[in-house]
Amino acid sequence: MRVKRNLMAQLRRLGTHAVFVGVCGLLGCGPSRSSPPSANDGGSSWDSGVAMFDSGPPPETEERRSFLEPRAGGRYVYVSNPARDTVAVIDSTTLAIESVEVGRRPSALLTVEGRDEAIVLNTGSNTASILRTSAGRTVVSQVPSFQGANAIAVAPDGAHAVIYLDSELDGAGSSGGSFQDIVVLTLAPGMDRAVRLTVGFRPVNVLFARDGSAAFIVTEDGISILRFAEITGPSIVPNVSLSDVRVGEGPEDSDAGTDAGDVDASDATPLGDASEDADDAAPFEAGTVDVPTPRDTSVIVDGSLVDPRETPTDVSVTPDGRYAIARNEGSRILRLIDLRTRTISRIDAGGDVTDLDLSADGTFAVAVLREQSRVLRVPVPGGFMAPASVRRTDLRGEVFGSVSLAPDGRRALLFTTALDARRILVMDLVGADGTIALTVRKTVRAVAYAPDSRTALVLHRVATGDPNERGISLQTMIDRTPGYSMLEPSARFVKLQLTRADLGPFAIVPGGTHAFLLQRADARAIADVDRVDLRSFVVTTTSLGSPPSSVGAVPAARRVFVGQQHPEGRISFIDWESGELQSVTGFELNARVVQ
Amino acid sequence: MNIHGMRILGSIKRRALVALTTVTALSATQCRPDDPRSTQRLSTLAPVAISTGLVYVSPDRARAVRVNLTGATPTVERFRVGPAAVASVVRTGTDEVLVLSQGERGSPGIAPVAATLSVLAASGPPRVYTVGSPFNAISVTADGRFAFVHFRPSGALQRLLFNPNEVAIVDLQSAPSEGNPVRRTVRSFGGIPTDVIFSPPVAIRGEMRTIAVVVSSSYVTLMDLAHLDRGETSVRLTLPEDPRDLNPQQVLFDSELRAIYLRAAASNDVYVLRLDDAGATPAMGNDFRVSINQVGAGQGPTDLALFGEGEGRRLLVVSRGSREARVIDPRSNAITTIALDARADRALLFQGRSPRDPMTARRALLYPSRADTGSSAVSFLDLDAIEARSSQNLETVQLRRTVRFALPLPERGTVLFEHDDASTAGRLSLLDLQGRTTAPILAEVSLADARFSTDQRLLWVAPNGSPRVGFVDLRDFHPGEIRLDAPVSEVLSLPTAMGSPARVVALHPATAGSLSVLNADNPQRETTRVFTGYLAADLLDQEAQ
Repeated sequence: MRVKRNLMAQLRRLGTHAVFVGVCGLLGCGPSRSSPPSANDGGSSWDSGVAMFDSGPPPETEERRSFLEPRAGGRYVYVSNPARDTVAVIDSTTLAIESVEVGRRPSALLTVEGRDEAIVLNTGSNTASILRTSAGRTVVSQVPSFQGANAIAVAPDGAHAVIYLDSELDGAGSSGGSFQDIVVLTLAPGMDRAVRLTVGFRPVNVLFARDGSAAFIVTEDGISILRFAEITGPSIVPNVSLSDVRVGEGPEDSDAGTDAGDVDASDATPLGDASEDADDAAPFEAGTVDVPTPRDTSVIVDGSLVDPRETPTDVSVTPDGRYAIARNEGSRILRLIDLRTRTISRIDAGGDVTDLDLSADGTFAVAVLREQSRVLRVPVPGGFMAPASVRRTDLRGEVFGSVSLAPDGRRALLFTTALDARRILVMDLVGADGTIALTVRKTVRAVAYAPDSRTALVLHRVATGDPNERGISLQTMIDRTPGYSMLEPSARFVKLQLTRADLGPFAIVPGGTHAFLLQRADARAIADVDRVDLRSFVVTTTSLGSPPSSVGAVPAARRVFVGQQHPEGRISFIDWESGELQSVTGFELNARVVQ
Repeated sequence: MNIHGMRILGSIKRRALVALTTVTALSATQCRPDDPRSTQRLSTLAPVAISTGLVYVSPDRARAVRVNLTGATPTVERFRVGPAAVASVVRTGTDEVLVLSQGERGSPGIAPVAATLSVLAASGPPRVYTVGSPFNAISVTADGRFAFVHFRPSGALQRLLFNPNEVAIVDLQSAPSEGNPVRRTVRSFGGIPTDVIFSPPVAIRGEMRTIAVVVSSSYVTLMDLAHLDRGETSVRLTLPEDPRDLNPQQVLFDSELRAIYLRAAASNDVYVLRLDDAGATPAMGNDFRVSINQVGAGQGPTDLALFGEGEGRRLLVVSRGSREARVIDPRSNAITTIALDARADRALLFQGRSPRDPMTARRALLYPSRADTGSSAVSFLDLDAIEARSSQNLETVQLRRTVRFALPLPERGTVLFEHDDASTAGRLSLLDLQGRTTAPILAEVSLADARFSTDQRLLWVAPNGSPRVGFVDLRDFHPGEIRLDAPVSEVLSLPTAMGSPARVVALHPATAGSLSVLNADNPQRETTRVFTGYLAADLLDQEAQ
């Protein structure tokens, strides 16, 4: 589980489009997240804007799925229709559509992973509707929400959900309300229940323990811990602060540790003298502070480990819900929060940590330091207790600031989204293969590991300029043309696929056999979806009738849905094995077919 | 008309009465003048052509007359049918004629008679199915298995109460019984059926089905004729708040994709109805589910045509208003738009070569078929790789005169155009589809009422009121004409029975019936036979009735 808060606000200030943080499941990050990952995630979303900075390299970016899109349950796909106060429930196997009346102005909608169950926020009536579909009929129950609520997170077991106000979404807070309200839903057919709680300021994400027993609300003030079994009624949920509020001084011994991490030579592309790099390692500093009891902010920490930044950029939670690990953009401090004892441990990474990924099993994290070309493998929680156990690898001369861990935790892909590098490093985290470099033909925008850890998708940036300009080199033409690469790290194989338009949302099916990538360029009437066979890297492009806006897998039907922009509502389903495509347009009309 | 599809004809044409006469007075001494039995009208419905001759139906006399024209002299058979017959049609693939009668309400001295569908078999007495309500329209499936009788809006109902959404489906292969016909009331959203169209056989769950599409304003109703015990499916074309009346104009079936394409007046969309297997068959429910797609089709789509197979299946749409053709992938709704140089309202698919391509390939001619299209050019569209090549596959050919009427002759690789301007280059143009050249043909007649011979070899025309019939041999476009002894009101081609000569019948306006039979293989005045009086042969023979 993790939260990646990239510099969306900063990018906005710079006049770029919103760049979304990556989809956890699709990007091969932590084990769980605030909303159902990959399989029914509705795909991920980003835009093509690339921030331009006046000086210094920009931060690494990850991308985040859009929220207001169709969502897939096990068999049915749910689409909210604010104009008619309905939700269209689409049977992915028969294309039958049921139009279900909910509250006023339904907007954000999320499904329970693997189940034909959806929650939709009715912004016009400050309620939430819970839809359960079985045998083509949907039953709706309604519970109170709160003004301004715009985001939902569902626990992995589907027994609870959290409704909150995500201030990073467009229009957040404009209708009033509090940035500190949440509603916890207890989901049980016939007995749905909503409890309103108050948490820290500006929730940015909601993480869950893998067993669904607890939620962790990441706010600017810290992490609010919800133990569902203990919630009996409205209350204040105290924070575990993540910031270092310096209200006094009391130096503590900092038991700094050092570790000369191994750096492996690449079989494919040598990466320099590992031992030399290791000698350059600065010692890690570590410290542990007592986190105050609730409402107690009198924190005294070792001055050398104080991080003046208030809100962590990255927060991940181990699957068992015991620990959270966090970093701040521009900070060298890694923090481990024991969510049971409410204590924080920290280590000094020796340089600004530009990315941090927690393994799927939560046993280790990988931190990347772009300036130092350094990778730290940090055992969790051991690395914070015994810094010597942190393994450092310096890859001198290589440019990378982001990391994507394979879901099986055996490999990490190192790359940069901020600089014009055309290499991806494949680091073996468990064997003796060391690190190898793979050349990609374009600069990198995002990397997504397939769920089976065998392959990965690399989404590329597009350089400005006309790719058809006469006289330009092949490389310039490639740079100016949108595209993506398919990567099989174990085979050290990369295939570049150029596209007619820039890439939109994508989805990788649960088994990792296929990926679907959307492309659209409305001005040029391009509305394509690429079906990628990740076993052969064969790509089939299909043109759609209207601009695609979302994609997601419907596991029970072994299809993906492609939501499209159409005034009457349009969605296409693609069988991921055969590629057979079926579309349905006009949700309301379809819902009124009397069978 | 496209393969497996049909345009919905106006209601009048099919049931137009042939007013042969007005009133024939019977013996005034036997009946009072106001006794309905004292007068009999000889007006008949339009005669129906069968392989042996013609069948006339007299609504007022409750009589059908079958005129056998196979011999040297005609023979006449008479059959009683229900009173107030309103429609007569051939049962597809047979020489049987179906006569739909509205029955008799009853009046003093006259007992009520139920509405019926009479089947005039080639031999034996008619089979009579009681349909119950005074329907006025009949449609027959392509395999001749089912007759679908319904109400089509027109004229006075002549009933105190009438349910216009009631229909009756007659299984013509089964004898009349309690369950045959099946009577149903079609679910209504305020409209009434305007036509019924049948799908070709469609495989659903391994069983070949015929789906009846009952067309109403702004909605259609689908009925599975193989399972009439199951309910119908109603598909709206507009939302309830939409004030538009969308009257379906064209329905096209796609057995391969199990899809129905529908074009409606006042709509710029093409509606694609898909029949997918239902997850489970509910009791009394269908085992297929219908979903609908709306696909933008330019302004005022006027014709639909299907081409390609498998993944290459595409729908070609011609839109007169926006002067464009659209190629639609019905699976993905992806659209390729080709702007046309000339306005067109019809599409004709054909296989052939082109002046720049010696290979036989799928092509389309997009042409104007009506004067109000205001176009004097046609467009050829090569359909292979159309999505990639788009307008590169387009060629415009000037006809140089506004088209008033078009008669496609795809079997002959030509299209005949009729123009308004007949002053210089002739009234007709003959367009060669492969050479993409036009040749003028001088003509004094309109093609609007032209008739093909059954073998499509000759095209017959008969200027109304003239005693001459003209023909064009479509093999070499050699024209000819024959003078008959009386003015001609209509020309009919008789279906050709195996081994029989092809015959064409010219009808003459005459009270008691008059016609000329021409040898369509070698039309000559000398071999033409004239028959008259067959409708009045038993006029005074009350017992025969």
